[in-house]
Amino acid sequence: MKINIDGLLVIFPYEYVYPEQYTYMLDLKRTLDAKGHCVLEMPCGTGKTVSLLALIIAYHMAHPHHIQKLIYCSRTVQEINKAMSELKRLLDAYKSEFGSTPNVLGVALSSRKNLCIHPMIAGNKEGKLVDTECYKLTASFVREKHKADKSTPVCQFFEEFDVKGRVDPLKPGVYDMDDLKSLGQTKGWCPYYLARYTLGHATVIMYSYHYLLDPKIAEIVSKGLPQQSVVVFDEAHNIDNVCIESMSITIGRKTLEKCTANINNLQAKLRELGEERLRQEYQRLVEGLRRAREERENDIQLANPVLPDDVLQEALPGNMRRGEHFLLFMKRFAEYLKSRLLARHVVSETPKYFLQNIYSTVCIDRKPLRFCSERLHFMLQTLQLLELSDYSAITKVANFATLVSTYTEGFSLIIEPFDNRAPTIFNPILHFSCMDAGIAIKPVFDHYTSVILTSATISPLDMYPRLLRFQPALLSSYGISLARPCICPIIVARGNDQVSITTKFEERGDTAIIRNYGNVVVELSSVIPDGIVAFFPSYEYMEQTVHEWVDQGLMSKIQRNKLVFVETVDNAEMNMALNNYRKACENGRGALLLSVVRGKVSEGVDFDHHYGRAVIMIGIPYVYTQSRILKARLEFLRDNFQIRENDFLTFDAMRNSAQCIGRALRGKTDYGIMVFADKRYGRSDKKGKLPKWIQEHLSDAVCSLSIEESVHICKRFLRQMAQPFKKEEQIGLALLTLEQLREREEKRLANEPN
Amino acid sequence: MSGEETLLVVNNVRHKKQDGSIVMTKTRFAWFREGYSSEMTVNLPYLSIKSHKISKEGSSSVQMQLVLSDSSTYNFHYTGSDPKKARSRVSEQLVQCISKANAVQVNNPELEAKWRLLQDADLYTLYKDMVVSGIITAEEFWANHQKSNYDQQQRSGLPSAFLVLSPSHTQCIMVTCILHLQVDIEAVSGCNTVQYQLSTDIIENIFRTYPTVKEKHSQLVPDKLTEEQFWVQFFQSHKFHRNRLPQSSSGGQSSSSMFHECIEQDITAIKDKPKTDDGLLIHESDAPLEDVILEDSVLKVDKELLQRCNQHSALVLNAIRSDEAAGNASQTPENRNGSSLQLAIGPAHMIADTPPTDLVSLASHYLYTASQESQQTPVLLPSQAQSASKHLMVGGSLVNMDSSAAVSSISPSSFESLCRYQRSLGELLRHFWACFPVVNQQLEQKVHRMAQCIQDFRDKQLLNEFKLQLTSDSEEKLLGQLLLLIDAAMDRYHDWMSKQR
Repeated sequence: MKINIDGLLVIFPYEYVYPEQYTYMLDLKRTLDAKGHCVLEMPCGTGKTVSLLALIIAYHMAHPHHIQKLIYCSRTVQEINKAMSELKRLLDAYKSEFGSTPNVLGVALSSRKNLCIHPMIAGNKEGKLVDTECYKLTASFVREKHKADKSTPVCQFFEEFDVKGRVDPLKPGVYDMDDLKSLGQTKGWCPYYLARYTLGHATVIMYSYHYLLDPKIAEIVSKGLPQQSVVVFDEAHNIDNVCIESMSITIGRKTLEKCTANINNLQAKLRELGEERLRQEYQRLVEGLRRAREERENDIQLANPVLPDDVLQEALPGNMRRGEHFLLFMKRFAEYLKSRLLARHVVSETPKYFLQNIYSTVCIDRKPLRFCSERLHFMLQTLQLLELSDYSAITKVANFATLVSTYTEGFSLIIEPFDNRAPTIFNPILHFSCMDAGIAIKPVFDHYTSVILTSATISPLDMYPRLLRFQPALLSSYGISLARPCICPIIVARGNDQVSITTKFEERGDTAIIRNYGNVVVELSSVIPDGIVAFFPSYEYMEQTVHEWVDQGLMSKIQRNKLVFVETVDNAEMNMALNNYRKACENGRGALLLSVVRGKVSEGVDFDHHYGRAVIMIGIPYVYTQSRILKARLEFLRDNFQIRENDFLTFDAMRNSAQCIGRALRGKTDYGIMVFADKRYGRSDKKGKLPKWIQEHLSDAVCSLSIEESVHICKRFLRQMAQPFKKEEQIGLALLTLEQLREREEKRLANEPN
Repeated sequence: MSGEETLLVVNNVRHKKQDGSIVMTKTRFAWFREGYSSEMTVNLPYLSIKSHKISKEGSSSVQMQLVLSDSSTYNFHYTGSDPKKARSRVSEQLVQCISKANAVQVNNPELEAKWRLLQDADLYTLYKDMVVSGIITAEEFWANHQKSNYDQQQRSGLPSAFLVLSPSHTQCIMVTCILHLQVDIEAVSGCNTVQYQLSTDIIENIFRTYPTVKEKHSQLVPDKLTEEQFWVQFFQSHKFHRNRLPQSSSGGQSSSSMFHECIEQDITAIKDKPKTDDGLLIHESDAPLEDVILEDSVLKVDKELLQRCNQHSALVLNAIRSDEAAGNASQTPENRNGSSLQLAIGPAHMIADTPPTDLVSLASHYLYTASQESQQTPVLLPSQAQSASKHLMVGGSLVNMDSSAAVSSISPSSFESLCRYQRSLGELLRHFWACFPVVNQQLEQKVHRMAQCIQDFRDKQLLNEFKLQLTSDSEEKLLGQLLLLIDAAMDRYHDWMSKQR
């Protein structure tokens, strides 16, 4: 259907449009007009992705100079695939509307692991392994060797692409990962490099966050994308953590030992190398790093953290131009770090202090430190090493050197001699942690015209601009228009014995509380059909609780109703458990999945329809507040952004619970019960931080229930939901046809003054 | 009393303060008021009576109470000269009659199943045509149709908590106890004992869930261990080493480690199964997810516990699935006949789309076996037979028109009757061909009977009734197909007859 959004013709690939999709597109249009950034929250299953794509593509068609590219970032491969299929659908709609394929080229990029088609390499489970294997076949020196000596193996797909691929760009259309692979098979081109090359002229790019946020990767992949682009971060509720992670480094004793071993190894290699090659390298270094890099565009694999431009143009400081000098320098640095790690007490200092200290103790200047990672990279190139993954330790240390000397603000350096969980074992760890999420994402906000953060659960909205340091043009959260109330959030605050239930740290160990949590699960599992997912605030608490439940006989009561599966650390085991959970839901047996907030299940897996008829949040998932890194970050937020500690902690806990709870509802035909089992959820500071679409259904009547009452509510809700539900009932309420849309629009215009 | 045989009459019984007498017949229990022997005040079929109670031994009045399945009650007061004797006579008779009535009811599901099957309109007409008109007997009819439905009975899964039962639960769950086991907990203390009651159900559940335990059971019992010892050890290993690490448990006792091994085996068996990559799995994203979970978690015992949870659930789930798989596997060969018939029943398959290949293959199969049976004088080569019968089928190449055109050129009413005749004939022919090779007396009789039936069917139904309804050429042709099928059968029959002599 064709929709007129504020004067812009939008082709929408579906017959109906949800009211919230319409307003979403309106707001999006305004943001694009204003060339600003925005944060939008819309419930899952209401077609966020398709509205985004439809509007931005339409905008691109209408104003091709204003918006040249759409960069769509998501978290997982699955989500990217889903978005790709929506894009395909959209372009099909364009085709049937105008009769010709629009001049839009969409391409998805993923890691080599997902795209490689080389028969020897593809199918490898580990991403790093694939990268190394690929490097062995495609590094420029390997290829040169191949030219001289045909027996040196190279990747025929890459060679083929190198010869022909660049001349003959992809035709307009949508290429998801499978398309790229099959295209690569037929043409004999490497899909990974094809995709990377295509980024330059594609209209729509879909890839993972890291290609834009992680400075190590972004520099290689996303450099040179035009400024007139729209960047969309989907599922952006955890974006600040992604930013922080990409800039943080943790170094332990083992890393340092390996680093020393690496240095010795490199020294030996260097001695073997001919005089001539070394002299050549030296010459190039004198000329400057930038040009040296350009020559080897393809090889870049483990690049440096983001460096200010001037560093790249400068010549290397004299004391590290020669390889052996550089290695000695690194050795000194590593030894210094080792000595720091010997400390028996916790050290917390700023990068500035660290630099001063290192200067005064071992006379290492700040300037050469900045070049470390680049210089190391260069050396690995010169030595023509194939097993790059062997040198990860020294790379890490060099990266740390560069980061610590580049950024003086927004970082903190913490040396912990003991792990919190095992306070007797001496196991020193150096955390160099980023505290300002804005650092990593700042280039993105500065460079691109519009950045859109969107998710189903991104409340409270005003927190994100503060954390990421940007000026939003628009903040908006949308409710969900439903023909029937298909979500049923309830807050269970006390057990039948009137003991209030909570996972407050002081009280969580109480047997009465654990028993009451058990009763919540037992009672609910007896009335709710199919799948139930319960989330615990931490892994330890889950273990403790399950242990208690088994001892008190509650577990056997649960097992009478459902099969019980538990999230485990091991990935393979977890997958098996999930698979069995799914089967148990499917064959009507019903199952209960116990999992952990912030774990793998809470982020990656959807529990739609019968896979999750209810989600039970056991307690409020506060992060472990005693961690020093968190403390440092809280301090930083308080001092720089005026965000109080408690506000941030609650914000973090609530966004995580909203994220978990939101797993239950994945569409308008779906329905699910959302149980918040903690009395603290009833307080307004917690309740107010839930997404709008959940808050709407959380009336005061359901804010402090006992277990019995909540069972009654669930029963009633399930009976109501079990009634047959037809599409016709939705039309007009939750689904709008073109006519209804027009009517609404007229009404809106009539109501507005002027 | 409506001609039913009276089993027992007892006078002097009061009900609702009125005198009267109890009369019991084969099917019902009745009570008459004094002098009103024509109208039954109380009239209860045995099926509706749930139980009967009698007053206490020492009480002054001798009474009896009947409790019905809707939990309404009737009280009777015996007032005769020897009330207790009268009451015990009634009681005995009641027990007999009720149990008889219930025994009859056990058969009812079968009837119900038949009745449910006949809800299918097509099958019902077939039933009318075949059985009611006496062409084949009801037993023969059901022999073919019921099998499929019987095997599809739902298999119940296992209760997932069957092993976690605490002793107090066991009493209420199990009615039929075959074993009383005393499990001594030496590990805990000398005087502390837990009594388990194992029923056949539970043992079967254990076997289904832990196949290797079954293996062990068949290996060890009764040669090396008694039944009782075996289960004592099993529960010891399960109950008391559940929370412990495998190393510590295997330290002293070899038996518990034996079961530990068993369970390990079962688990690895599941793990080794080829995994299907389904939607609900965690897919690794480009970058590894944040690893919040601690690597070295607090207590290994707790971890073990969580793992056990998963494994137990997986095994229970697996038990259901393996049953299903086994059920399906065993079903397929027997059911082929049934499914072929289902195919033949669907009217869409008759004329449109494909020729009913199942019937064809069936016919050719019998032709083939027949030819094997008389190797010296092959009636037909198998391939010939197959192609011939293919041609003979409606919708085969002998019908030289487009199948959709064929359907459209037939009037709806005659289409319907055509379908009906086709079905009936198919059924008859199937019975006929199923008789070959003729190995015993019964089959011989059946062949004669079926041949007769088919001839009758052709003469009476097809050539008389059906032919009259036909209006167009194409319909005639379709009739011709049916006749050809009959001819093929008749040829076979005469061939066989000639060999018999």
